[in-house]
Amino acid sequence: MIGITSYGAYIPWNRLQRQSIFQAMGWYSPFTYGIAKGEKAVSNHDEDSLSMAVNAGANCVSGLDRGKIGGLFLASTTLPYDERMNASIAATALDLKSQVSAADITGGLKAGTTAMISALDALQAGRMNQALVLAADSRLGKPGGAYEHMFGDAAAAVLFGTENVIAEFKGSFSLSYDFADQRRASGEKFNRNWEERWIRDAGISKILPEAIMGAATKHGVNPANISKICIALPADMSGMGKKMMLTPEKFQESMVNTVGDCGAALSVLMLAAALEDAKPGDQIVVVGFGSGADVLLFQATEEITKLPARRAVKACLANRKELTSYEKYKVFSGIEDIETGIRGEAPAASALSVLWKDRRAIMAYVGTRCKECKTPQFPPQRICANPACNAKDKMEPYSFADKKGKLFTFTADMLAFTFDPPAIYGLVDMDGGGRLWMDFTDVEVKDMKVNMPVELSFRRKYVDKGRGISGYSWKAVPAGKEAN
Amino acid sequence: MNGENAAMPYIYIHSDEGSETTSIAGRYVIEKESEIQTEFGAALVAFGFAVVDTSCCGSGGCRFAQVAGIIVERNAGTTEDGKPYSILERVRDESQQRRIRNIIDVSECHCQINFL
Repeated sequence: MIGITSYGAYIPWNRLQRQSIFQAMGWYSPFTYGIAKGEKAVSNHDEDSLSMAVNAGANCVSGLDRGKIGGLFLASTTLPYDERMNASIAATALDLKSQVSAADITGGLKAGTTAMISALDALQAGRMNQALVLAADSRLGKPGGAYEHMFGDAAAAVLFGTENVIAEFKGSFSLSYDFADQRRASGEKFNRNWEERWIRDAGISKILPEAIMGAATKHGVNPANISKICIALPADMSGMGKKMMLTPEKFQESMVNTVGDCGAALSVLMLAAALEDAKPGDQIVVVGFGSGADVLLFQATEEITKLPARRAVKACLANRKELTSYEKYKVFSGIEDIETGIRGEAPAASALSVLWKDRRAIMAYVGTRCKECKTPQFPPQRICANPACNAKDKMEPYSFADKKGKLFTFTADMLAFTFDPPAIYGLVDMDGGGRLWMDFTDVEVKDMKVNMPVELSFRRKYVDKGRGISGYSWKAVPAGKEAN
Repeated sequence: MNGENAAMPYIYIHSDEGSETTSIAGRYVIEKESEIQTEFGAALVAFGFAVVDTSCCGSGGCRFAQVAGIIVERNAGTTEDGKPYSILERVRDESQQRRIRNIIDVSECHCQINFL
């Protein structure tokens, strides 16, 4: 049996009320009042699609043997690199084995479903036994436009495999059309769209039924038996239900008023949300839309009741902080450039040769643990740092990224440059041993408390504009709940 | 430590092992001094811990190795304030530095090696 074996999600901590966008820009675009409802998830200053995808992946594979993963498919339209495989960066950050087939799936909003179909094809062909799909997007709408309200940032992940399958893959159906409802030319920062009425009448209302009915016919699915349908569009699609014999409660909520339209990630995020509530036997349909459509059919198995609780949509939605400043959103998202001062302008010390040599330490936060005295240590050592041991070449790799810890001490620095002053950093005593110097993020100084539980989160540490390099590693954040 | 000419022997004043030296940005402690035997002589190396925790622009810490030089005369005398000193020659030859690094890499826990 081939299908889903695990899932996870990642939604940024910051949420921007759409009313705050309207208050700032409504003078220019009063027509956006009608869509200025609810909130959207927005990246922190140290987040992008790649960092979010890695965190979703880490939540997905938590507690599982990563050594069995043979493929990684990363879906997004907003990846940091056009040339330098982003999926390989993600594979390194997740400490997957080097014998992994990694690919970026991009270029359209159905990239999330296309990545899932690609992963399932690889499994069906016997090329691998497990494949991880990551999907993330962080798109920008121009200030004053509707997309600025609609677009949100998020990531989701699904692990496919052949053992302990929680939702069996029943088949897929794909359509490819050059239906250019949304577009962003190479090098452009903001999305553009064609007329909404044309998108609705000529695109959504024709292509979606063709795809869904095509899948149902091809795989002999009675639409009336569908338990949940995840249509990756930022709107209430239940109006389509009558044509397909689907009642409104069978439409998975698209989270438009809590997350926003997270692009290529939306289909995978909605699937993760559906899996959180799925019962054995439930039929789940996932529909990706954009330059055509993909449809995937799954059926939950008894195994879904045995999967340990993991951080997915509900827990991520609960972990939130209101970003009250529209100006902060514009700076964090890179829409607006600010004076960073001499410290912010100082060249970042990018050395890709060092990154290559120390990639497991920098990207995956893998240190060493002494086999003799079991002392974890970071950075990796050949000689045990424990003065009572000092064993030589008795080390084994030891991951810190998947461990939790407690805050030992910290400081808040108003002088060091950060897009969100003050810079907070300190010492973390890791569960199981080891004390790490960490930068902190997703926290305010007033909430920093000695002994508070913390965990690690993959973040963009700097952007070296001079060399075109985004540097990544792990930071500490307050520990969140595994599941809600 | 005195002496500017790398080719010339210089006077190395031994550190007080275990005593903390503070500065504006942090502090360090010399934990021990060791002799490392090589084909080109015995090198005197100080091992210690450094912590940067009162800096204006960051923080950090490490165990370091400070290669003072090749011993010409160990415990050659004492300074006016009673501190022992030795006569050393700095290690400037890169192949010799590599050799010493290789020995330290497999014998002592450290994050950085510096040559005086």
